Amino acid sequence: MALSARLGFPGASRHSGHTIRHATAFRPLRSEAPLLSQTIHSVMKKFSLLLLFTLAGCAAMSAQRFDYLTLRTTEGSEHSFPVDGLKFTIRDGNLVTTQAGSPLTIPLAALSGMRFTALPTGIASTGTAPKAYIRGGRLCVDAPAGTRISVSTIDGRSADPRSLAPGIYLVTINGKTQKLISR
Amino acid sequence: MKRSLLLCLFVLCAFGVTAQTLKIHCGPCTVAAPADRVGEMLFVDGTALRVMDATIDLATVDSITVDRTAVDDSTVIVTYEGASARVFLTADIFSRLNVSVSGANVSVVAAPDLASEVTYVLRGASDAGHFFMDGEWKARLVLDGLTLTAADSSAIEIANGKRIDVVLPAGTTTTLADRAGGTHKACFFVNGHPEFSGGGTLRLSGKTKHAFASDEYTRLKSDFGTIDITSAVGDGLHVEQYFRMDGGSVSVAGTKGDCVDISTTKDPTDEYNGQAFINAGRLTMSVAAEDVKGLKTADRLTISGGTVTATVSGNGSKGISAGMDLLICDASGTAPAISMTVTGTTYMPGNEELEAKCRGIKVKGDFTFDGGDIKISATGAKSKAISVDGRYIYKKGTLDCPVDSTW
Repeated sequence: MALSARLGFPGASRHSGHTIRHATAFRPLRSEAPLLSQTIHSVMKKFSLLLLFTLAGCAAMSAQRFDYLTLRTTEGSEHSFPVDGLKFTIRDGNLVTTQAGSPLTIPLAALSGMRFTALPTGIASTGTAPKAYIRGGRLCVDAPAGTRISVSTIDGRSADPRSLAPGIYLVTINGKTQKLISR
Repeated sequence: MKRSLLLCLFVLCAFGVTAQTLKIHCGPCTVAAPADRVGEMLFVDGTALRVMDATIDLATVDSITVDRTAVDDSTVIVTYEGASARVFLTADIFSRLNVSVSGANVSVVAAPDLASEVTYVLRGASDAGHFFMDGEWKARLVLDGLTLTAADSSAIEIANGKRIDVVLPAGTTTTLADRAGGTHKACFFVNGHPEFSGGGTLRLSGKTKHAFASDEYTRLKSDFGTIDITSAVGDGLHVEQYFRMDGGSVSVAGTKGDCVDISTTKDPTDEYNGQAFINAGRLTMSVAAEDVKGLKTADRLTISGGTVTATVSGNGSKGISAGMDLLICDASGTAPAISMTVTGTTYMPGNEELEAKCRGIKVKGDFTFDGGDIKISATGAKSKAISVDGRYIYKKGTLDCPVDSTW
């Protein structure tokens, strides 16, 4: 408002209780020129900062990072792969990764979907990790004897691994949790 | 202030490099989908993959890759590589496009329900290639330094009858050619109404019939670069409805038909039917064949700016032939300049049906001269600089030759 009055906008003068004549009184004099310049510079600075924050906000919202491509099997397990250099080939009804360090062959019929994610989910590598899946309402785990396993519903209640009604379950094997779907 | 602006630029650059794109490679075709919009992609019984609204048969998929290139929606990029071609298209339009690739022959037909503008980018080189496109929605065609010679058809055939933006990016040269013995209408044919823009160059030659033809109006926008027609069995530019030139440079030589022929469409109610408007730019014509025209209109011709230059050496030929009235004025703000050298003589002298006399400008209606500069040298036997069947109305302008009017 002060700026408006300084620049002599009549409306601002009225609003601030001044008469139109005050606009004349506020006409920039030679001695006020540096002040006006500083004010304009300050406004421009504020404007450019606002623009910067707006752009940063837009960029943050729009340019979401999708660093992983996550495959989901019909059994509900998930495999995430870093997208850099990622290549899947389709060969003899299988999806085969050629990414170094993550060799994997999955029958196409065993895949239900895939999506981009910011972080890896599920089992990142099937090399040594125990394999878990639900079949016929029962939890099956391929893991050495003595492996610590717990099953809970999505809202944290404990579930019987021998009788899992259709739904999503959190299965924790040796402290690592994964989501499985019972169909 | 400067630092803030630099920071803004940095943020924008950072935004630009983080885009990821999923690419599904199916033989010569690649379907691209931006990571931030694909959402959940579903495998259907191990036989198909649903991406956005596209369902892709997995039997046709060779591989799936991800990279950090950004893609614009509704884009088809065709890259010609000798005897073959690759087609890149975005997933948002995949389900509404029927793409077929056979060697370097590419056909893209859009479904009638596709209601968005698709950009087709053509680049690369082939000496036995062809591009065909059809659809029922306006489209954009970018000729990005393409060199294409067709084996037995048009090099480019756009069957789509809507507005086609033809863009020639500045600094690029696209060269299109066909071969003799075909049945096609032109080396570059557009069924609808093309509007040319961009500062690049388009070189054409038509060995079967016309070099370029459109079945509706053709417009050259003010920022347009160059069309260079080196030869044509028929016309250089054969345009129906009307021709409007707001800029650019058109050079036509080596035609056996007219250099620029504007004819009427079948619908007499079409606006400006059979007319031409030269508002700016440079039109240069070499009229060397016998009994043809440089710039020919079926109806009214208006030259309100720009430069028209013609060398009329063919017997019985005309530099400009207006089917109705001719108006030369400075309405565009810049006075037009017309210069011609007429050296041809009479075609088939003594033949009552076929005899044609050589003229710089032939007007079948009235000729109104309201600004500009006309310089015509007619030296061929029985040739004339300007011949008007109707009235000659002089308002202003400079003229260095006689006007022969029967009124």
